[in-house]
Amino acid sequence: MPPLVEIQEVTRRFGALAAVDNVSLEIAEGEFLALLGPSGCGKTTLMRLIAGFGAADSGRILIGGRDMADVPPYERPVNMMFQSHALFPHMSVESNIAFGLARAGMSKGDMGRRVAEMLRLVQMEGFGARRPHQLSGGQSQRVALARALARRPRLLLLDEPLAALDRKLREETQFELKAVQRELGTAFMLVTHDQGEAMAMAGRIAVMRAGAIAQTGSPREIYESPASRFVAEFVGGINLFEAVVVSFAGGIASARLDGASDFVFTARCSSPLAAGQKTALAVRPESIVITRTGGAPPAPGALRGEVVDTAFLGGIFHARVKLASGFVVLSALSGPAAAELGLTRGDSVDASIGPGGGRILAS
Amino acid sequence: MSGRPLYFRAGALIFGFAFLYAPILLLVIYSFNASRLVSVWGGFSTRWYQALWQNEALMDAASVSLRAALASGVIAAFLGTCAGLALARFGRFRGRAVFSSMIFAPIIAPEVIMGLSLLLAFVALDAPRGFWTIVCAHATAGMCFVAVIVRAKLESLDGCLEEAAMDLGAGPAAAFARITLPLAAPAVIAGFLLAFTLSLDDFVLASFVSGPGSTTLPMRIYSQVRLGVTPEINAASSLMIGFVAVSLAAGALAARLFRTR
Ligand SMILES: Nc1ncnc2c1ncn2[C@@H]1O[C@H](COP(=O)(O)OP(=O)(O)OP(=O)(O)O)[C@@H](O)[C@H]1O
Ligand SMILES: [Mg+2]
Repeated sequence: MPPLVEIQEVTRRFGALAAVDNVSLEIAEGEFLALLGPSGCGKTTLMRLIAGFGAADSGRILIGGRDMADVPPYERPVNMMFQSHALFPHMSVESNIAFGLARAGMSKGDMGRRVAEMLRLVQMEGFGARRPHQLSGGQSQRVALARALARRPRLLLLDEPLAALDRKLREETQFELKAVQRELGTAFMLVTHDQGEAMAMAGRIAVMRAGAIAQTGSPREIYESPASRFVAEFVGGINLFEAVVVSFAGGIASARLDGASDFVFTARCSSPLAAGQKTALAVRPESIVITRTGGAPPAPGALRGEVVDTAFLGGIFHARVKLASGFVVLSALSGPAAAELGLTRGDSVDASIGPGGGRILAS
Repeated sequence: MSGRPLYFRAGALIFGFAFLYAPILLLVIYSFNASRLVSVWGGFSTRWYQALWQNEALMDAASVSLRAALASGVIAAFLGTCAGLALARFGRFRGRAVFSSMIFAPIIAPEVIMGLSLLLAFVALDAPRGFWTIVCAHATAGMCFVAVIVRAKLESLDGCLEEAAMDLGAGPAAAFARITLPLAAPAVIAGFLLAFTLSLDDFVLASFVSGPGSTTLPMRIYSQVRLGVTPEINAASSLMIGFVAVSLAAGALAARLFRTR
């Protein structure tokens, strides 16, 4: 099946700044894609280009195989849920949802049925007669979703739809949005700068940086095999050790840690590296294994350090270990493991990398 | 709030309002005076209102004033709405600040100067002075107020609303007609009523640009007062005050009815 949306080498400039810089991206029919990136990296700009607000300076956007260059927003088979919700204040909830249906020339009867169906979908039955200013933030967010979905678009664009909600409501809504997406089978493109939100909801994540796509992949791929320092740092907690490449062959790289001349780490690396090149070894906190020292020197592959801080976070336990080189490693332990170790500040420990836990980064 | 005693605040309020409204109240009371002498109370009567009804010169002037206010109000509402839209929507361009403060010029400039410049323009255009030159002058002054009000309203609206409408399949014209215009309507109506009131009130502009046979009520009152104040004039003035008050109240009511937040 051809992709629903094909973005081909699209660039959009504001003066000297390329807000979207040579981006190529595909969105498949029915998929849930998250566009993740820090504030100001061009997420909204890219999404607005897909919706038809603003034209690309170069490149093409195809939806359903058709070039969208001359198609105005009101003729595109996509709908957008605005960050501010943008509900029409002078219309009832029902009229808001029916607005797009009336523009499509739907009959009164069909329209009423579709509006009722949408209200049920977002669990807002009984709110049809209300005005937007009579709704809470979470409720108006649901109405905005219902309105955007009412026309049965092939792609729904969501610009940080949950940013205005408090944390608890946001987590609930994440699952509801996912359920709605599964039920309708509409492709969703969610814009967010919250990596937790992207991981929780999306089937695929595109990480954006300064107008360009840094990496795309499943949440697992992005988390476990970040392609660059930027992605590794942006998605989840990470320990980045400066290192120098010792050798590279057949997709396997060896690197020596800075400040620990005998510590050589070997891991898979997707892109080729040259010996002597500076690189970084990325290890997720949960891959750092901590053992108490028994007085003996550290085992090969382990580094000695001192616990400088501990934090109990419910299900997990964080320990910060200061190594001899001065580098502070963050380790995440499961509750029971932490209880068994019984770590406290000042303890002398050995830290090592668990099996399959490290990545040598290409850049 | 301030810690001043209640009677002080109430006193200040009453004094302030008395200062503003006592002369007007006096005028309204004397319009119901049975006596022909303006300063001597001769009992309650509505005879001057009846006399007014029969005073053709005053009634003609009132009719000119009302028709001019209506026509100039409508024109000002239309032009002012266009100007307000342009100012609110054009985004940033070089000289935007200059442009948007230029709309205040006719509000700030002395009326005498506006009247003079309009007169010169009409003479240069060789336009016969009369009813339509008054309408034109009042529309010019009124549209500035409409533009300022409409622009403030539009700028307070979420800029995404029109885009949301377009995203939902409405073309630019439909988005404007169904979203922007209804939301700006209270401001347009308020602006119209303000322009209407200004036109009814105006004396200076009208005296500059009017011609023979088109005398507005304020002009007529002024010329009669120079010959001495009559109770009839009091009655005419009271009616005018009533009109203005009603149209201002209508403006407030319209704003309340259309309130959308
Ligand atoms: N209309 C515009 N004119 C000029 N510059 C703009 C315009 N819109 C966006 N930009 C710039 O383009 C860059 C990308 O903006 P964009 O709104 O796409 O970021 P974003 O990733 O959505 O950020 P956020 O997470 O804060 O919403 C920013 O540097 C911004 O200043
Ligand atoms: Mg944004």
